[in-house]
Amino acid sequence: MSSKVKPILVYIFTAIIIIYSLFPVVWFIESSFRTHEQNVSIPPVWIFKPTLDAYHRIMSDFTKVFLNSYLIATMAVMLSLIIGIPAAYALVRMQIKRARDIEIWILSMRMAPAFAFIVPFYLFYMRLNLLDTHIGVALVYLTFTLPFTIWLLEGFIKDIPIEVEESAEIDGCSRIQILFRITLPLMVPGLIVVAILTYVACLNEFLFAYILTRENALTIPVAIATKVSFMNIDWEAMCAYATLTIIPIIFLSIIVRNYIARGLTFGAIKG
Amino acid sequence: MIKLKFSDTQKRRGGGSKFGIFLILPSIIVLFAVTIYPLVYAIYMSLHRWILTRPDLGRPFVGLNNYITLLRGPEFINALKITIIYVSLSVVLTMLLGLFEALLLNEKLKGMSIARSIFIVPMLITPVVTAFGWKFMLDDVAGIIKNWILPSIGLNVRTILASPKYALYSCIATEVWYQTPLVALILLAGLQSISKTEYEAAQIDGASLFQMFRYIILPGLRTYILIALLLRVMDSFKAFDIIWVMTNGGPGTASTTLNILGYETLVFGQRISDAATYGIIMLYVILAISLIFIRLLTRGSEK
Repeated sequence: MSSKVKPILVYIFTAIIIIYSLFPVVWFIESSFRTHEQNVSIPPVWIFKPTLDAYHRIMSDFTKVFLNSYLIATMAVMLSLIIGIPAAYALVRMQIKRARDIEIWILSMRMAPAFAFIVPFYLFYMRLNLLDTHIGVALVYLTFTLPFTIWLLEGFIKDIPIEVEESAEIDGCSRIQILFRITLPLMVPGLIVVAILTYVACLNEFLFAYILTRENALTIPVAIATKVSFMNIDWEAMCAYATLTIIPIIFLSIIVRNYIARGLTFGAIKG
Repeated sequence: MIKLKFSDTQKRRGGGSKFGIFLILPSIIVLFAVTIYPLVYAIYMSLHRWILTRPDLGRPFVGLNNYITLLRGPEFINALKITIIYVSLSVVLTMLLGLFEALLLNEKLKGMSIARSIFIVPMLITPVVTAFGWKFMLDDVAGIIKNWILPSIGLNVRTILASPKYALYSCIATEVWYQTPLVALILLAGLQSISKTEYEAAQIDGASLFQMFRYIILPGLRTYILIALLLRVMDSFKAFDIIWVMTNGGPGTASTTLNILGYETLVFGQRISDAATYGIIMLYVILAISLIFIRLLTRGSEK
């Protein structure tokens, strides 16, 4: 292929890929500002006066499920950080018997099908009256947030030079002091990345929340799924719902964009 | 920069093992409570006949009977068939499209860095929202694809998502849309790990594009391709959000994968022992798949 044609082809295909990747998102965001008549008209109305009607219609309902989602995600992330930080530190820096087995166990949780856990949880929660509660959903989320947190934090702790800790030890710091005064402050960027990645994973989770919540602890994805399963869907309202859902998530993702591949592949790729 | 080794290779400080256990114990206890215990309980449930709406039947021990009845049943066979179509088609398509995207984005041309940050958008969208977005485009009344794009290229269909012929493929198309960037990202990392000198040497030797691809790019990507494949097979096997939101597994059972079947068994049928059995069957399938991949991956690194 001649060297003049190749760049042109690359640009053309890249343009196609970009349109393909963006169009579905742009389309529902745009449609959230249309009226119902504009939305069902063929050919589509490209130029129109945006209206906020759909947003007004969903606001109170959306606020409620939004708060549920973020409350549940916050609880799950907090719990897994509190429990996971010491474990990740010990697995990297200390002699633990069977550390390798524990790591394989943690890694295998990336693979396990959620459905294998959900049935017993459904039954336990029915008995313990935890169905449709925020803490109930948050606890189930630990099945993926905790392994994820430990595994990713291990990667970040390994990046901290061990010499820093050794010199602190020579200066007479105890192990607890080293963890809290030396290692933890150095881990802060890693902690933020892990917290955001787990946060987003919780906000996006659907299957667990769909089975374990009804009304009280309804999360955003569950609300969307329920509303679009009816026959007459209020498309504008749902487009507004979808738009409001993804804005904070995209914002969070941009902060950690360099680590997303690492998170999704469970650290296999340090993108 | 593939990390397949566990931390044994990492420098560790001796001693302090009691303190170490103290640090790790909370995680072990919680992980045990939320993973091992439910799994063991699911196995226990799968060995009994247990229907929530029929407490009068009790829950007698039935051995492996649930497995035998379900594995032979038409529901399972049908769901397995659909799952295999769903997994194989969406894996093949995401891998091919992902490789294509990675090769494109690896080109060092002006403006490509912008493209590199835009193409990941699909994987940042909440899967349920993605499913909604595609349902919206494919809808019979409001759908832009169904009512405008397809007719303008001369394709008129009465319905897409309610048609047994197209429903499953619509879900697959959506899965491909949002999973391709992950594959592309992994393969892009692989392409960037192949050293420049190798390309240049091949170019000087007069290798054709195809030869470059066959003898330099593919071998260099081997591990990355395996990792992408492993993740894709696992994730599409577990797919639930996309299918449920777009078609509810329908029309009829046209897009009922194992996961959807399990869900219906649990929530609509309240047959919790059957649902647990499906869960355990899926666990074994995943286990088998991952063992194959781990073998392939470790064999590669021994060479």
